[in-house]
This record gives sequence, structure tokens and C-alpha cells, in this order.
Amino acid sequence: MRVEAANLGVNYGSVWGIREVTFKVKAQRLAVVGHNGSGKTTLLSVLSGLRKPTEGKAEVNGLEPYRRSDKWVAIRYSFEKPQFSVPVKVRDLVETLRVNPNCPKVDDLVEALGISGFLDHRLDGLSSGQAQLCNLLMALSCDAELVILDEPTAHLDSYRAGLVDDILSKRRGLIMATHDPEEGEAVADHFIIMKEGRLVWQGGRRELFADGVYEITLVDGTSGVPPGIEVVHSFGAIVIARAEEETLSELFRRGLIAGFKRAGLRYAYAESR
Amino acid sequence: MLTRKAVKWYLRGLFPPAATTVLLLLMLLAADSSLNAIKTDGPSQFIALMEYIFFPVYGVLVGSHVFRDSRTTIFELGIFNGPKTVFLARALIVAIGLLPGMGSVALLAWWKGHPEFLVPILLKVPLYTAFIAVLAAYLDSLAGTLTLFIITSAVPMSFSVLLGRSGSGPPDALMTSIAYVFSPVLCVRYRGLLPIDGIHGAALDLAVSALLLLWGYWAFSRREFSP
Repeated sequence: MRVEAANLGVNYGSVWGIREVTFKVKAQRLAVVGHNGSGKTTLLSVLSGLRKPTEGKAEVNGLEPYRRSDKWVAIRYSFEKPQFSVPVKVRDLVETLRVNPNCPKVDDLVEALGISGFLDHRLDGLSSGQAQLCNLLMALSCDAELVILDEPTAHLDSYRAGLVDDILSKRRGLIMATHDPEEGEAVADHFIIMKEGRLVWQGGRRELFADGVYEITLVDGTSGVPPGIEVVHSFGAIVIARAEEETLSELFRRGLIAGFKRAGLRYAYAESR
Repeated sequence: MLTRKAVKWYLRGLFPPAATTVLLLLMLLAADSSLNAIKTDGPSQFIALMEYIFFPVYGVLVGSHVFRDSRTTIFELGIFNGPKTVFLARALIVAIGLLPGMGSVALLAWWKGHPEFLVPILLKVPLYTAFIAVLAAYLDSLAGTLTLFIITSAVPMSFSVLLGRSGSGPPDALMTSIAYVFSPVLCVRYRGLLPIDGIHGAALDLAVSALLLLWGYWAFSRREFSP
């Protein structure tokens, strides 16, 4: 998958959703990370062809998505906070997707995502998690050049979120927005960090996992950080810190920390703020 | 096969049982009563009740079913592989939804000895379908519903004032054409005074409906979304 943006900008009246976004990425799975209002959804709406940019241009595999006549088949989009005002049953959705010649994986996904448990519920009466699963069913069961998912696991329990992440990590041609660093690291092989509508960092897994910086889970968030660790960012019981790997291994052996790993997306995200 | 599934998809919830029953019953009672009054009071009551009140309300009941929010529309465009099937199914469903209401009143008028209303009332089906198709391409649920009511109720009402003006002569061909599009039932009353006769008026309505449907499809297939 090749994704390019050149001086991309989208405005909403006098406010710019994204501006001067330029990148060139060759990856199988791209994660777009950023805080609320950073422009993730706006970027995804252009890459999925839902809207044209105000300035600049974007290309996915050499084509501008918003100019493609086959965009609804070639690109599947699943938005955040799904809520459907449709008085039809989930069973109708499944049966409709079954007759769609572009969607051969419906039955497998109905079982894998646990949708068979609420087939007789109406779409307009689903919980946010169930609606999310139906949205994902539409996006993932159909053959598409590219799948774009905005916060795909935001409303799911951790078990289902894990199942979805496992499916996504095997997919080729995926762009997802996420707030969850663990999810981004589990699924993507390239990362973009957005801040206030602008791109502030991008890189692959090799660039992401910095040398000498670790994400440490403390045994007890209130009793402080053990000696020998220089904290860079603190997130409650998880801290990003500079330390020697041997020091951390020793602290882990002595039970003073619960675990550690190379700092990745959480560090890059915190540094870019 | 996918189009058939799409029609079935939109058929669900098209006629909310309580609202449809009450509205159809009231509409037929009002039509019957006002048709009986034509002999003594003329057609004004029937035209006012049907063209300005009951048909627009019935149109809103049916139209609101396909005025869906952006997210639902994006979802449906994904399910049905793009705008062609979604637009076709929505237009068909609107026509199917309008037929029982308009058809029953048209048949009642014909049965009661007023065949001159049959075609103008039935023309409401393609016209309303076309109005809804264009509005649904641009607007979401609430804005679409309100605009539809204004187009189908307030605009025809203004033509009753325009065509009813005495002493200013008959309206020109352009105003008459617009009157045929927005208030075909009202035009029955002024047929002898209008520069366009009923047959040409009906042909014009069908042609405008077809053009509006094409416009609706063009706009819908180019619509942008901000999720």
C-alpha cells in the first residue's frame, strides 16, 4: 500500500481540520495517532474518498481516492461512534452482505466477532459495542483494496478488541486511527502522529522503538519510581523512562517493577505533544 | 439481487403502523367530506385540505424514512457497493410509500364523480419522489424533512394566491409551468384560464420529475461526507 499526501489541507469554515500535511508511506498497515481534535478523522475522510481536500492532494496506490468512481467498493470505511437509525435487524444486514458478491467473508466474521449472538436485535437498538461490530463486519467482510477504520475497538470489551486487533494485524491495506498505543503497536507497521491538524512525527517500527528508553509498569503507582530510573513521562502506574536494560531486569527480578518493554508509540506520542 | 435486497432493506419501517393508519384514515375522511362539498362550495376545500395539508404530511411521513443521517448513509453506501443501488432503492421505496396515500385519494375522487382530479393527484407520486430524491442528496434528516414540507405545502399555497388574483390577467407560461410542478391539483381549478392545458401540464410534470431524479442521482453520487 502506498499512501501519499502533499500539502494536504481541509477546512471547516475558518477552522482548518488539517493543514500542510505531507508524507509518503509504503506500508501494509498504517496507524494514525493523535489526541482529540488532532485531525485524524479528517485525514481519514480524505484518504477514504468521503471528502475532497480544500488544498493539496492525497493518493492511495497512485489514485486520488475522492476522485475514484469505484471508491465505495475499493475502499471500505468504518467510522467512530457508530449509531444507525435503521429499523432493520442485524440478520437482515448479514443476509444483505451475503448476497453482495464483493463480501465473501461474512459468515466467518459473524462467528469470529460474536455477532451471531444478537442477530435478532434491530440496528437502531444496538449498544455502541454491538454497532461497532456491525460496522466492522461491513468493512472487513468485503474484498477491498484498502480498509480505513476510525477507532475500530473504541467501544469493544478487551476480549473482542483483542480479536479484532488479531484480524487487523494480518490484513494488507489498512489505515486506522487509534488512541490506544498498544493497539497501534499490535497492528501497524508504520505510524503517523498528528497534532492540531499537522503531522508531527512519522516512522516505521524500527524508528519507533527507541534505544535506551523504556515503558515501565510499576508495581504500585503510589510508592514512587525505584532508583536508577530517569522518568521522562508519567502515566500513573506506567512511566516512560531512560534506564539501562540490566538495571530494569534486576528491578524486575527483585519485584520492584511489574514489567518493562522498549518505549514505542506511547513515547513518540508523548514526545510530540 | 443486491437491488432487491436494498429495496427490502428500505421497506422495513416504511409504514409505521399507528401513524400510517391514523393518517390514511383522516386523509380519506377529509377527502370524502370535501369531495361531497364540491357540489355546493366548489373544489377549494378539497384542494386546500389535500394539496396543502394531507399530501405534504403524508409525503413527510414517507420522505423522512429515506432522509438518513450521514453515518447511516455512509454505512448503506458500503453495504450496497455505492450510490447507484442506494439511490434506486430509496427512490423506489418513496414511490411505493406514496402510492397507497395518493392512489386511494385519487380513486376516491374518481369514484365520487370527479375524474378531473385523478391524474393530477397521481402525478404527486413522481413529483414528490423527485423532490425527495433531490433533497435526500443534499440534506440530512431534519433539514430534509422541513424543506420537503415547505416545498410541498407552503409553495403550493403561494400559488393559490398567485392564480387566484383577479383583475391581473392569467399567469404567463413560465409561472403556469411552475404551478403545474408544485400544485397540479390546484391547477385543475384554473385550467380554463391557464395558457397550458392539462395534458401538457401532466407531460411537463413527468419530464420535470425525470430531470429532478437525474439531478438527485448526480448530486447523490458526488456528495461529500464529514463523518
